[in-house]
Amino acid sequence: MKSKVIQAAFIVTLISLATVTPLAYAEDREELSFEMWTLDWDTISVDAGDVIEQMLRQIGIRMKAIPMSDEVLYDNLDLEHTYEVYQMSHGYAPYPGHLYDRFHSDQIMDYGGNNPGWSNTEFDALIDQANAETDFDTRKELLWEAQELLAEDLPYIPLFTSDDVHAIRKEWTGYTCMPGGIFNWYNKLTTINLQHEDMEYGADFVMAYPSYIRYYNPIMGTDGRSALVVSMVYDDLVSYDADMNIAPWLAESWTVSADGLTVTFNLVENAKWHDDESLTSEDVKFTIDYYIDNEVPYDTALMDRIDSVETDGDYTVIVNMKEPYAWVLDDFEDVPILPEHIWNDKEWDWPVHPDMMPIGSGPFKWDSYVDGEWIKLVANEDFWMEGKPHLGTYTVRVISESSARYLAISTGEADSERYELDTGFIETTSADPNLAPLEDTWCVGMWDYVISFNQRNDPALQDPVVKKAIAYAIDRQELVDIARLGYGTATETFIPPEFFGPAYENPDATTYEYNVFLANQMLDAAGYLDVDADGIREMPAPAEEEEEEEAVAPETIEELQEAVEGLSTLLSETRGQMTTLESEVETLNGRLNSSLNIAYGIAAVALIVALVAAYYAMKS
Amino acid sequence: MGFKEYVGKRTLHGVVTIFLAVTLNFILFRIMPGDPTRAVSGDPRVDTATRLALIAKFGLDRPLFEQYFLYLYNLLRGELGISFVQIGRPVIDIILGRKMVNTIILMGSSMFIAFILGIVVGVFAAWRRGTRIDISFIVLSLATYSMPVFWFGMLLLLFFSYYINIFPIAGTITPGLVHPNFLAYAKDYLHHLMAPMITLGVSFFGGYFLFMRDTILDVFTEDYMLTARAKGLSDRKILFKHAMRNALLPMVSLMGVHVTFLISGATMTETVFSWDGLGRLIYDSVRNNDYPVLQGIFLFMAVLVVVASILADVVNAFLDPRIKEAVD
Repeated sequence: MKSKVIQAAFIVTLISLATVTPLAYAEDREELSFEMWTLDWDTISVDAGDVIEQMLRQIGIRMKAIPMSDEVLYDNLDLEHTYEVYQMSHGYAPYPGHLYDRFHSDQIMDYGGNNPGWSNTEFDALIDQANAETDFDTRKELLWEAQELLAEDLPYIPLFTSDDVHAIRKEWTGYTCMPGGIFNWYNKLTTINLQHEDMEYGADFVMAYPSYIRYYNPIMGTDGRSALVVSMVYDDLVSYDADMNIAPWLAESWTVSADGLTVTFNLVENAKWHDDESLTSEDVKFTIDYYIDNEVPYDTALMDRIDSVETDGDYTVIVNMKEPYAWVLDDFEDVPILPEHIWNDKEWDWPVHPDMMPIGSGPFKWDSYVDGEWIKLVANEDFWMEGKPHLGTYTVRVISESSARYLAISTGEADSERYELDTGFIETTSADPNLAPLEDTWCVGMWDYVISFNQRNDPALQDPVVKKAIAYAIDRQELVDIARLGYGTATETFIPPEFFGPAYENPDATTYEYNVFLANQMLDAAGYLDVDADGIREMPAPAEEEEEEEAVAPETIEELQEAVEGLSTLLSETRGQMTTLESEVETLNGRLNSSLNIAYGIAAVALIVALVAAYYAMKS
Repeated sequence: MGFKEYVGKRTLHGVVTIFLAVTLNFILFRIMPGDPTRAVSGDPRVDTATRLALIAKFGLDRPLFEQYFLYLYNLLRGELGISFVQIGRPVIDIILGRKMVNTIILMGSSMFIAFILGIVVGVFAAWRRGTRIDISFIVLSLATYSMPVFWFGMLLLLFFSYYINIFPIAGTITPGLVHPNFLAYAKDYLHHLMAPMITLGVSFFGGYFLFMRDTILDVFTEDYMLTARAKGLSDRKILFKHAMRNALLPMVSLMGVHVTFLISGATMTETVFSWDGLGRLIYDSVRNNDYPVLQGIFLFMAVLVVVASILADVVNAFLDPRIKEAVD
């Protein structure tokens, strides 16, 4: 009897020990631990995700990279908005309209472009102002100001662009490198200047496509495959030069009135449709009226702002705007001018049966095709620009499989392909003697990778300090080196001049240069401490504790920035010490972890002993 | 129950089956993850206003039930809808065109070759069962049978179109070439057909061979084989006149089951060789969430299977006295 009581007491002590020991170490605070979704079919996104996960471990943030199928990911961005963090590419248009699309609070809606759900009235006002500003320099200032607001709060962090390197056979010359690649629908310079090294005129070029074009209809052909073909068959009023400045095209000159309400285009006088009708200002007026009258759902930002169109003679078009619009020329770059004599009785979604041969005015004419397999375009000999294009024919050929495309280019069955090289083919291509060296085709890419934070719920993700620390802790160049084998461009700002042209260079932009030490300091100062020593920081303690700390911690960003500047002078000296410090911290962490493990071990052993004891107690 | 009633009942069953297939078809694509509105706009950079307009145009903002009844109503009018991906193009034009012919030619020729080879080699191996030749054929056919067809296709592509470069790399005809006459066209087409046909032929061969070999071995145990032998017939006569003919019956019914392959195509092979057929259409449409096209193809396949099986039943009932008696 007595022994049983002793045994029972023993058991109770052991069980309580087993439950209490681990509890003594754990503290009930939420960790800085997030799920970062990447796009499963995009190796760049997946690889960059893994690297970021590693990098953020250094500052005690667990950013679990999880590859997701695009269906799940896009559905969430469009409708559910429950993700925490995602990292993938968005894709730039040739002008920086994306600040409105991605961050304006108008875009917080189902299917809206503002994925993080970030809202800032000051920013909205700046963007609205910029969108109505026709003077380039004033607009640029406004955009820079808006960009500073973004840099302070970081709803997303721009990481890098995956650059466009192309497989093209080495006998071709005359292509122009533009941001977005040597082949792109707004890169008309390549279209008109591409030529064979031995044949100035008349060479046959074969372009491999991964699948057939989606539309023959020029209005709807805005996806990458259709748009390139559309841009060769149809003309727009203006185009871009290699530095992404607006350049003359069908309009040889234009004027925008000081109030921005009248835009006058002077057309070239020798433009003809492919069926020999001449192209006049009436066709341009018809096209714009057509978009407005039929409520065509494309280019609505431009068309909604147009009041009326007039012609003055055969070669002058005057567009009267309802309100000044900053991107009026950039948007006209994307409006194919349609022949009135063909389109006057057609619906905007007319499939344009290709047997009728799409009639445009561009450098290439529609020749023949087999639906689903290939399209042959021939040079337009009556093209209004003297001596262009150089090629004789341009054949688009569908080769579905990426390795088959590479083999086709290598054997000469095709000359190049529509899209940039997959990262997996970069090494093979650069070793292939039949192909142009990759450096010759290397242009800044349009696919901009960002790490984006849902601003709706999570207090840690709403805290600028956390996001800034993350921005400091990511080595963008290393991301490029690993995820894109170096063929990428690290981007520091929200309107990177590397893509949008040197005109957008802003020497005063806030940037976050790779600095892990600083990132750790910031998090420490803001109270994100690793209280349970498991390598992951916890959320700051509840408010009352915080009040004492507040005097010490730099509260405003300015103070922090000052501290940063002071620190950076010391940085070179401290670097050496830092590494030793880091290793010490690591060993300390290791020890802490091992002692934690020991505690758990003891608890486990205690539990087993208790169970055994209990078993014997029962038996006796 | 008379014969006519039987046919009527069978047809009614068929109609109900097709209706179920239609409904399943509709539900299946809508419970699939993924947002068709992205397919409609195509380009991730398309602005919000355009997307919303296209979503409304296709009625994708309507409740699911409404979409379903609209779908049924349109189906009854023979309207399969228009593709999300190639807006404006009717689904029926996309399916019943070149793509279908391409698929039927590719699948038909490769199945035919595999079928003939399977029978001949199967009979031969069964005759020589247990020998080294038989075993090597079994190993070979098991290997080709279990081999991923796209992998084999890529190897063939690498070999024939790159190293020795005798077959074109993609497509069904040479791009941009204007053929002077039909013969030149056919020659060009055949040239393109070779590599995918060999790939599929090899992948089908294993199955037909094993099936034929097993059937022949079964037939060998039948009494009439012993009788034939007792009559003193030659080996060749026994093998080809008695064994093979009887073994062909199950082979032919297997072929009947495989008829749907003619339409459904071989997605992987068609993709590797850029063969512009229905298999690749299915692949592209799944990737792009092109519901109308997928629904169209699957409906077409379902109808084909149902009609074929009704026809088979009816013909059997008409021909086979045992079934006819049971019916009566």
